[in-house]
Amino acid sequence: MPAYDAINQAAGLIIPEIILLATVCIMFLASPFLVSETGKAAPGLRHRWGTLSLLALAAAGFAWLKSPISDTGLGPFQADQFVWFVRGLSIVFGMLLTMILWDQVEDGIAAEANACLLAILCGVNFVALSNDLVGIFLGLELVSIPTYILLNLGRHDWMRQEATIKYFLLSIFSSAIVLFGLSWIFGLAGTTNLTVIAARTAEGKVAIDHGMFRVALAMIIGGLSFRLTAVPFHFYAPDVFQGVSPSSAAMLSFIPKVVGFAALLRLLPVCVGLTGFVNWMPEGAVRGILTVIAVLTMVIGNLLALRQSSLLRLLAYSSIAHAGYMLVGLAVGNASQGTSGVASLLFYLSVYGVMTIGLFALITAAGNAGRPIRAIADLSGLSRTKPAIALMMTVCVVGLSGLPPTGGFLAKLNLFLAAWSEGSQDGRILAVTLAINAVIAATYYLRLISVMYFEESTTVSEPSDQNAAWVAGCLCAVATLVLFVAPQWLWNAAALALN
Amino acid sequence: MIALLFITLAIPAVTSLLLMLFRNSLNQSSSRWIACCGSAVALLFSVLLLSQYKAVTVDPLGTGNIPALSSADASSAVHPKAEFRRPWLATTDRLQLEMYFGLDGISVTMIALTTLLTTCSVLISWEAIKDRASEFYAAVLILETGLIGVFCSFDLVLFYIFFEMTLIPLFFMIAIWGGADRRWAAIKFFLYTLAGSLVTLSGLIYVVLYVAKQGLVNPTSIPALSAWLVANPLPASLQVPLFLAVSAGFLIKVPVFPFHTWLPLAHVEAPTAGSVMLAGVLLKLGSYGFLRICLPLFPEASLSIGLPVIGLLSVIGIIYGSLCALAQKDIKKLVAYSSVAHLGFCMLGLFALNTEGITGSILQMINHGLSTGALFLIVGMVYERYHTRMMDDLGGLATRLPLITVSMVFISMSSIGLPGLNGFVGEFLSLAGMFKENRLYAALGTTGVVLGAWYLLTAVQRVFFGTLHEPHHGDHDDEVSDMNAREFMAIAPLAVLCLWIGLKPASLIEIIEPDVKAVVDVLQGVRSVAPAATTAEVENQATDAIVFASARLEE
Repeated sequence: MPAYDAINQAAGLIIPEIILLATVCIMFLASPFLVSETGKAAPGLRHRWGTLSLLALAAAGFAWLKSPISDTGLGPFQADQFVWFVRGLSIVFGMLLTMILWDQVEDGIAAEANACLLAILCGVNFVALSNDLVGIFLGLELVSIPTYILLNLGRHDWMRQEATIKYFLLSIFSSAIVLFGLSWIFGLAGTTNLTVIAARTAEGKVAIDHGMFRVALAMIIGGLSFRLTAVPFHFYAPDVFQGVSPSSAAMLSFIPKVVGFAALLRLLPVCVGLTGFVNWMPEGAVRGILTVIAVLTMVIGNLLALRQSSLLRLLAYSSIAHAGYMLVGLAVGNASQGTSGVASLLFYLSVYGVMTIGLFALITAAGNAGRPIRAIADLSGLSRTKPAIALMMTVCVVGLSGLPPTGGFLAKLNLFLAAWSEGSQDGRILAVTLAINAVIAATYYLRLISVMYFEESTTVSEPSDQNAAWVAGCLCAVATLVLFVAPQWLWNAAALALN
Repeated sequence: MIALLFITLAIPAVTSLLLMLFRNSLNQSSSRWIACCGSAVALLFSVLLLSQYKAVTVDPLGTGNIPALSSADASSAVHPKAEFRRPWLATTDRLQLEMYFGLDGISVTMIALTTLLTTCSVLISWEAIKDRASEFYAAVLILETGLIGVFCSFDLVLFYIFFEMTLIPLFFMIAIWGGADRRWAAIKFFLYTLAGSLVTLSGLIYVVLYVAKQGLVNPTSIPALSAWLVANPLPASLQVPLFLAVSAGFLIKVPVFPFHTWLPLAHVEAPTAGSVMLAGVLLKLGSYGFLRICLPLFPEASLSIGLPVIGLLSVIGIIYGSLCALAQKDIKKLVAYSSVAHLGFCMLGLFALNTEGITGSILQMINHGLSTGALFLIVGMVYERYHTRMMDDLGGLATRLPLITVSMVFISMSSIGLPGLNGFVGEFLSLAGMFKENRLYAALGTTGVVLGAWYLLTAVQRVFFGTLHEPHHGDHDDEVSDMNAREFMAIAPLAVLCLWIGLKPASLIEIIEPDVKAVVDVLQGVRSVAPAATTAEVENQATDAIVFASARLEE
């Protein structure tokens, strides 16, 4: 096959990403000409960039719906059902994140901020799309590098600088570890192509039992755990969440988790010789590592969240704990009987995205650019000053705590059923830990609600200037409730992603 | 009919949402009017629902050909007569959750009771709740939503969700608008009932997963689960522990004797509306849970453990509760302990596990809601006037408050079980049912009737009769006024219903009869004794007894 045809064919698989990257290029190239030498731009420019960003995402969404789905993965990319699901997540949540970002950035840097966000979303898609170890790594970096820029854009205070530096250093460190692990797999398998690695492993040409293989997997899981904010790789999360703006925190609470789970779901089955996840179940050492990490992440995340006074730190620990719940699904895998753990994980991931992005959107909307909400005490009396926001925030918080009537309840129920019905001792331990942790978590989530409803406001209410974030929060709160009443379509999509 | 049900469920929810969203612009007066309208409209719809239910399902000609309205299997112990089923979430081919709302005779009467008592609660809180009025009424209406939801849920997930949902508004009602020791009372109430219902939850999860493994695809649907367990009973070694686990939450909720310690505290500290809702409806969730879940799912364990053990605990509860009531100085605490005794009758009838007993138990659930609800209303009225509930501080109020006294005497008679009023029918049938199963329990339970007359009449005599003895009521020196029109509106429907059920219990029994029969059929299936008397005979017995008793009264 001539090279030209190969490139042409491969490009046909990534039309949504091409649209997004083209927009990124336009933004980066055009914005310097629209900004004065002091970095000021015409007031209202951010609305144009935001609209362009949304239009690009809508176009990518259109291309996503039209995109072909094929299970063959011989070239650099594979566009299977899993990719379809991950793309859907990144495009839908990308739109919400764009809306949160809308009024958070100054006009002068709006283009760069939006472009970074789009590039991050592209990176998410590439991790899922790649049929190659190098491709996965490049996807991970396409997420990381724009994240460094995005975190550092805008207002500069020492907290944000500390947060950015901390994230930068730990992120490149974790990337290096992942890359090291990937190189060991390359060394064992002799190729970087995932399909070929799977085939060679299945034929027995690659020794799964080899100690090197375990070391490689441990390094990959460790490195990616940084992105999942799994314990013991979670230390950066509270400081970073606290330091950066709420829009960046919204992105950090969700997008790295999608990337991390996408990469793990691509790599782990391949390493036992499977190209899909239908019959995949983590075994042996991998299972042990995932189970231990899941339990630790749930317990430590929730316990540390109990005594926080900073809202963003609390949400960072809550985000850690949620990573633990999702790891339960990964540790269970697709057992032969009962509810699928991986489908439960994907279902939980989507529902969690709705709730956490909604909550951050509402936190953004409750404050204003001059005085954002940072401490839990800032929420006091919110039900008097901004009753609609308080009510929607309550919906999201109830959802995060896993109580009905929200999609969060069904998401936790699925994970519980998956872990319990899997039948092994580990599965039961995971299920029980999950249930106990949901109870522990309820205490700090309910504290947020009681602060909003039962404490008097300490400050004068200022009108909010964050309309786009308000709309995003409203959409998320409604979706949280809708996912309780009509969850089947999302489950079907998640279950289909496994095939 | 199902549309009416959803309207009844939605009205309080929407009203409370309005109260929450617009609480900045609502003052005490506007929020109570909104709450009053919301609860009254819900009451109206629930009455429509009841009448429509009766028109569709009750068979006036006695042909016995009630049209089969339910999709449930004929062998099931639970048959909703109107239903709304919708696939909810199917995670595998073998585990499918569905949303299952429905109505049967028991639930439709309990829903009517809920909406009635909510309206009364709103009316009685009119002046008493001064600060954060909109939040208070929002909490009352959320509580109403949860209670209606429990009564119309025919699937375990929804049932449990609504069951727990009732805890939160009541917790806040006690913790914010309660008496001096409200924090502790609210926390004890919350933790105690939550701990119990978590044990219930674990039992239910076990049953559901066990049955799902056996092959039932929709194990959370109560009718389907019941039919499945009739065909494939759980092994006895499993039934007994599961029965006990699932019972835990309900035993605490009722509350049955050693688990009742949270109740008097919660009642005393709760605002009047909270006490009315707590005694009137919330406690019934326990007995309703037994009726709806424990008996249909674990018929053998109900016979082997439930009848002897819970029957005994109920008898102890009747006597102990009555004796405690006798010793109280606080009149609200007295009514709270009388609840323990009355629910003892309810549980005694329920665990007779025959037609008379269960019918009596359901009647007792409704009667207790009406008469104890009314007693709490009256105690609240007295407290609002004098700011004390101590019997030593009060005396001879009949001269000052004649209308309140009349209603108190009337309601006390109903609560004591005077023939011709509602309490008698329920207690009689419960005891008659238990008499067939265990004469000792029934005989001991009967003493509760005497003790009930003793403590309530003593209280009435001390507070309302004798020489006038009023405490100094500080904030206003003018004369204390008698019952006003609003309070009359709150208490009159309860009193009328007390009389109506007492005179014409058959009109209520015919609504619940088919549902009781379905449960009893399943229980009969597992025990080999002679078939119990039909409900028609029970009605005759009850009517005879009433005629006999009223004849004697006239002498």
